[in-house]
Amino acid sequence: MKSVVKSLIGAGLMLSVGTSTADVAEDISRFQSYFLKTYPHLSLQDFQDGPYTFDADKRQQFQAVMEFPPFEDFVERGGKLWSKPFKNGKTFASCFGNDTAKVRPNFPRWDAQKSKVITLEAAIQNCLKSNGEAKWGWKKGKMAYVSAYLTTQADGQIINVVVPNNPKAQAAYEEGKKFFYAKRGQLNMACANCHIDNASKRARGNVLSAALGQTTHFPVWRGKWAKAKGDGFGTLHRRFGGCNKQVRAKPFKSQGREYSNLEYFLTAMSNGMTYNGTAYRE
Amino acid sequence: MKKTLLSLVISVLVAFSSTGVIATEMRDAEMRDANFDWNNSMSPAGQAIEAAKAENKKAKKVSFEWRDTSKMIKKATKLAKAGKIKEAIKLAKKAKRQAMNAQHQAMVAKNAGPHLF
Repeated sequence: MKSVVKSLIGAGLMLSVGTSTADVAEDISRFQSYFLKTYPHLSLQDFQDGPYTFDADKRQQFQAVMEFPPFEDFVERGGKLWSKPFKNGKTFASCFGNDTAKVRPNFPRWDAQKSKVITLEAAIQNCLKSNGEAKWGWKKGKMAYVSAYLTTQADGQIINVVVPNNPKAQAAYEEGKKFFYAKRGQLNMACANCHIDNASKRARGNVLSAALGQTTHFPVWRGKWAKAKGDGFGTLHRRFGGCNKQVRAKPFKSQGREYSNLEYFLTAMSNGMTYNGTAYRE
Repeated sequence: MKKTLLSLVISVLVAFSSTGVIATEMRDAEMRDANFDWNNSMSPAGQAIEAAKAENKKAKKVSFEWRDTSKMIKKATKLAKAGKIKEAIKLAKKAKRQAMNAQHQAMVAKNAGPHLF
């Protein structure tokens, strides 16, 4: 009963604040109810911590790392980039407003003018372009630092992705949904196969996270990305590409239609959860 | 006379060497299978590689290309250039199968959706 109520909160939030259709609300309710029923000892917000929710040892390690996160300097760097004036004297605030806590929760969203889903990273890039600044890479570096800064600023804000009653927005959502459930690559696996069917189970040395709550804490700092020359930071689309490569599918371009729509669907499924700031992952 | 005889011997040796035209034809003859297009002047390796490319193009069009297929096609092309025809054809056929499987995945994906709830 409690789990059903909790999942209805997620769907209800969306219906009360935005204008998403009943189909999307139904998807969210079923998605969240599945996880809450499968893991009855966990609350909706517990799923923010991904694989560390399921494994006590890994959770201890995670908590130890998060006491002195290896990414603090990069988040700080993101804050400095946010405030640093462009060549024309303006800053990012001219595009997004001054309340940094409210920036991340605005994305991903349907942009009716451009007729496509706009992610936070795409909006950052648009802001750079409109202010005559050079483009940033999509997956890491400055883009990841600023995005991580904004995710950290949004700690505690509620996720509320709206899918408006508009055929193109609905189509983008459905495309993202289909992507999530479609098997692909030589290993013939869908996102759902790992993150719904096998959530909490192991894939070699790693515990698979639940799809619920996956977007509450990106960009992430990953130990794997910190090896060799990397600084460990990466955006959500960087991770999407890595996952596709792991099932031996050719990855799509970051911030292209496929991954933007996937982000739209996946984030909507976590409606009602709160952002918990950028996080460490293995 | 001696020079003419020497030239003839060298020509025969070249023709029957691994890089000679006749040797190539004899080798290719063994590689022609049921899929070989007799109206196409391309070699068996060339045909296998082009077939793989054509199928991979279709897989890419439906957004289901696999990670390694185009690398396999490139490798098959290099193998063919190096005269390793059997290996080139084998790899090209593998790449073609991958591309066809990818297209089948795309068809199945049209009905993709949740199955546990």
